[in-house]
Amino acid sequence: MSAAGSIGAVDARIVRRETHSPRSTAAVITAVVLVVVIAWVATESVLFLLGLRPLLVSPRTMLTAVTALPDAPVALQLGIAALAALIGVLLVCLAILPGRRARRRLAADNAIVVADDDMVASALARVAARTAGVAADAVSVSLGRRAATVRIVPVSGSRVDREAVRSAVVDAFGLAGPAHPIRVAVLVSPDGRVGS
Amino acid sequence: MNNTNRALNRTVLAIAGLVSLAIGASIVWMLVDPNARTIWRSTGGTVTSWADDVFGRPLWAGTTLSLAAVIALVVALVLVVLFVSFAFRQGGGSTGTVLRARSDDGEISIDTAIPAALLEERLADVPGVASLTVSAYRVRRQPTLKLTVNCRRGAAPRTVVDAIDDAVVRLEGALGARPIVYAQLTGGFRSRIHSPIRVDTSTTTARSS
Repeated sequence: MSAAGSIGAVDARIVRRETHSPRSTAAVITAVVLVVVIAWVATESVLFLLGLRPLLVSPRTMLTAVTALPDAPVALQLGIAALAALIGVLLVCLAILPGRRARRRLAADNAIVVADDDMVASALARVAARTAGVAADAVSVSLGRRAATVRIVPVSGSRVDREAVRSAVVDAFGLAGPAHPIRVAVLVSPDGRVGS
Repeated sequence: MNNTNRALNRTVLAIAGLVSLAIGASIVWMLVDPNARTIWRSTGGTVTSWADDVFGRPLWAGTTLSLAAVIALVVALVLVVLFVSFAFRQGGGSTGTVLRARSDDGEISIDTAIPAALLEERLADVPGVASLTVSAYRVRRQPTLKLTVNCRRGAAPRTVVDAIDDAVVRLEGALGARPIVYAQLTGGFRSRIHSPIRVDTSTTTARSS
């Protein structure tokens, strides 16, 4: 599909952007926190210049407090260090990790199609339920990037053909036209349920 | 689909994270190494006296306002404006016009509502499709339609994708041009829109009063 170069570039851009997180929430929260801190320090400075009482602490007190940090209790120092390191690691991870969303591309001739994993899992669950001869609510499917797990609660007294369910699910997944195949594991609950 | 600058988002996160890590690391270093504590105190003292000096030079007699204070406040204002505009530039890029065609007689522009209505009509009858929303974006200056297809529980992806393919071909026939179509299939376990129809077979006995 998409023979023309520019269309191919747009195509790749859309798929990449739709399957990865934009990190907007984290970036906006960071920006808002920084704005609040800067605005607070600026307000304290203005109050200090006007000779009014500070809201919390005056800028001069902030500076001397930071200078005197080595004399503060060790527990306080450790607490500040741990908090700063934790926030730092979290933000750096958010910046570096790919942030994949639980979505995958499906083959289509005239459109760019990306399906939520929830939607694909629900389709696989239906196929599994039909093959196993149980109700739709007795099957749950969890779908990861490279593997899927099908859990079935059988009707008590009847056997579930795990291999048949597995191949039916693999076939149904292949038919959807994903980019990569998945490993499928079928788990049948040891306890059946009447009327499942 | 939208115009969010993701590289900028990640850069802001990375810089904020590295600064935070540096603060944590320097405090730990100070706790471990007595020399670091001396360096911290002497640097702090230098900065405090320097600040006292520059903020203590009034611009004119009878004021506490100094040149340094003016610069600091302007810098703070600029930073606040930058961060606020950064927060507000997330998203964007959607457009109301899908196609523009120019002929000798003039120009036609086609609103998003037209392909939306055509696609909804084509896809409404497809089993497994519960609802559809259509919006238009410009991606690298190419008009692009975004379809969010809300599927029913257990809908087969192949059926839905084939229906979308078919609908796009018909859309091209109707518009005379093919915009790029991006479709996102949503839904799943929690998307049972209608509760299953139950037929009440129990007969209520009429009581003779």
